[in-house]
Amino acid sequence: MEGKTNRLRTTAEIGKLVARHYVDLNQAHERGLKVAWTCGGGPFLPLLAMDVVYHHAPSYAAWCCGRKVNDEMLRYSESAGYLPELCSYKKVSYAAALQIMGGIPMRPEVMLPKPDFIFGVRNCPLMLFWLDSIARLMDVPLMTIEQPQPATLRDYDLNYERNLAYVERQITQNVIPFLEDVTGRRLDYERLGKLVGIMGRVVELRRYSRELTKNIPSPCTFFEFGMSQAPVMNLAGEEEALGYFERFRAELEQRVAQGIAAVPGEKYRLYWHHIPVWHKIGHLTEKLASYGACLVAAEYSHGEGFPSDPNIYNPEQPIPSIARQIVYSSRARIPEVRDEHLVKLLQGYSIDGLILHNHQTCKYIDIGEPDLLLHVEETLGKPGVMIDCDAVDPSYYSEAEWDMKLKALLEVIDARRKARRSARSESM
Amino acid sequence: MSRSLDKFVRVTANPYSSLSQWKARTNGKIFGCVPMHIPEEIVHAAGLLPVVLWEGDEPFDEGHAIIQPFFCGFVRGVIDLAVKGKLHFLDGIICCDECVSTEAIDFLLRRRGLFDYFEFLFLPADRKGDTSKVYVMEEFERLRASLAQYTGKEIDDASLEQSIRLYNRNRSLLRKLYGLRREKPTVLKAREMYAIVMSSMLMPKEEHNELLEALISELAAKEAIDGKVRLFLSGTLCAAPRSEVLDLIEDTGGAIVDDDLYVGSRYFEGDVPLHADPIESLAERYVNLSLRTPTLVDHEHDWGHQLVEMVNRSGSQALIALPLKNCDPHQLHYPRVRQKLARAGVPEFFIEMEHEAMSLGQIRTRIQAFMEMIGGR
Repeated sequence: MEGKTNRLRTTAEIGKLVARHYVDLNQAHERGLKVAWTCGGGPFLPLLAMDVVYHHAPSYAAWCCGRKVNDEMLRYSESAGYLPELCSYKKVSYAAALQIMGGIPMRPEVMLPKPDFIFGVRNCPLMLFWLDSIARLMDVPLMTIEQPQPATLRDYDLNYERNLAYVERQITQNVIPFLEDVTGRRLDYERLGKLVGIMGRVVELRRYSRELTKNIPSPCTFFEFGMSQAPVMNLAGEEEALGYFERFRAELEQRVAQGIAAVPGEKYRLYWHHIPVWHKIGHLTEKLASYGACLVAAEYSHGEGFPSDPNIYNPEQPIPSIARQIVYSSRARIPEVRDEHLVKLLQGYSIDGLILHNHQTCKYIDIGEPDLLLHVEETLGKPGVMIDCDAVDPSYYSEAEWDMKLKALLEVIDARRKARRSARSESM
Repeated sequence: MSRSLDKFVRVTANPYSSLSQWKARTNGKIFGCVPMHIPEEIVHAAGLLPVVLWEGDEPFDEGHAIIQPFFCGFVRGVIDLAVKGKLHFLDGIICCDECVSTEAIDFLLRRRGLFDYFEFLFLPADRKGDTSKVYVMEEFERLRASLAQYTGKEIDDASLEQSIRLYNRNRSLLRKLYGLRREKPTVLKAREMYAIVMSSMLMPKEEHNELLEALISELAAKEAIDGKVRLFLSGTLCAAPRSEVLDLIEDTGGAIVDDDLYVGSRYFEGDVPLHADPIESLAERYVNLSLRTPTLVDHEHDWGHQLVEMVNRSGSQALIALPLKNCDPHQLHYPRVRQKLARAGVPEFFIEMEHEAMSLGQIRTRIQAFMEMIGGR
């Protein structure tokens, strides 16, 4: 199943950018730099400002999928006692950690350096528990930032200033002294401010680019947008990330101007919920394209878990900017915010139907997926299907399930279109 | 069976009936608290009855439609009971960000409007430094204000102190009972011991304390049976271990002498120190909890190391791990814990607790083999 989609030139750059990131990571100690292992949505900017090179567990798991070593890494961690139902993102890094600690690099091409410390923010509670367990496993210090999670928009608004102050206190009283101690140098606030400024521009470009997929036909599939998360996670705040998104935007604009579709003959515009299936990303893009289906938007790229408001970032106030990013991220998780945002997306991007990735090892985003289907059906009358899968673990993938559910979804979309046409002609 | 024990067992066997009866008798309000760290004392001081939520033992049906099967049995159980209307006697739910699965209880039930009141606390898992303690105090104050708004009555410091004293008394009595069991493990069956702790989560503490005092006096006079294999239980965060499995352990010659279970010694760990500010006192207990919990970050205590110490201190010959199936926090830490136990020479046996029917025959055979191994040491 090859060649149905028009792939972007820009996303082809990602492989090289990411490969270089891992070369830098593996050479960090030789260059006298410290290494951190991280997870979740950052914040990475204080690390960059201190010249700490970081390993980001989810990006690493996606990268291992690209190198086709994901299955082997997962089974390796399972053989050490980590059960199959645990988050596959985390299990891939456990495999790397176990190999480092055991001195047995099974896969030298994806090996990582031992970290000097573990660092991360608690988006998902399990992320924090993973950071804690991996710090214990590798016997290195741990530094965390707690991201307060409100349950309602009212609570978010009522507690916004207090939560912002709490996150700022954690950064100034815990994180910065810790980083200064580990690296043996003072934080350069001017440099941090510059990185914050770049981040703001990356966020702006990213937001603008994703709006372009509202066009019919869409110039880009979600999976290519999802891959573009790699420069954000691995190069956040660096000029290179900025350059990438400038080229990405320019290519999308050019496609829109020329009417070039990501999926030629685009017939169905679909929404994707959850993380991409990294180990089948090319295959699924082509499978969908073979039916004329294009994933034009997704929670992962078009949601607010990763902030899309560039006003959050003010180079003059680097610490409050980072704190705002953390607090803002918690807003997207509030069920009522998520539902409302989804309805807006479905309308704004002219979506015909939904695919909900029922990620077998990521409960964080799975919560409420069945409710989402009902909500969308009730409010907009849009059909959707839930498909069992996993971002990293191929053992949860079933070609037959994909074929059956995808065909069912497209048939329902066709049937409803036909019914609408009949209703219109009857009323005329 | 003694009067106290009979009551504890009846309450845990059918909490639906006992709580409905309490409500009809008192016209009081009952609030369900998600395990493991909601400060029940604040709820009590508001004149409400706090109970810790439980998963029940019914097969799942309606809950299946809204939560996937790979969430833990405890969370699916609570959601299933709630949507089926079995928790109709609850007036409110207080949840916290204990783990990603417990979030689902609030996220999925609140939108269905099944209860009059919902509150969601964010309690930092990483409790280092004053930054976290201050935030915990703010969250506890928020709960106090929210409950006061619900009842229309202010919760003053004196009431809160009184509730703290009552709860400290319960913790102290449960610790005393555990001390007794360490000395004479056969004076209670394991399923009875867990019924006692679980009933503390489901009954007014005033009544529980009274019955517990009487029971401790009765048990102190009882003789222990020698010749049993002394065992330590670890695991089952949030939920109670399954009684059938406990029976199997005892039937094959084992006696449970201690544990680090939630429906066990985690529930009554550490008293609330009484300072001038009761909210600060409650926050202090939370930030100082030192029994290693995988849902809390702890820079000082290592779970494996702590378990080896607890096993040795209690004179246990082996440890039986009882994790809930799909309990991610537990499983993220357990491979390393197991390694520590092995290095320290502590025999370990692993049984996953599932909500659905478990293959007890197979477990019996495995336990028998394990007990023979321990007995032959």
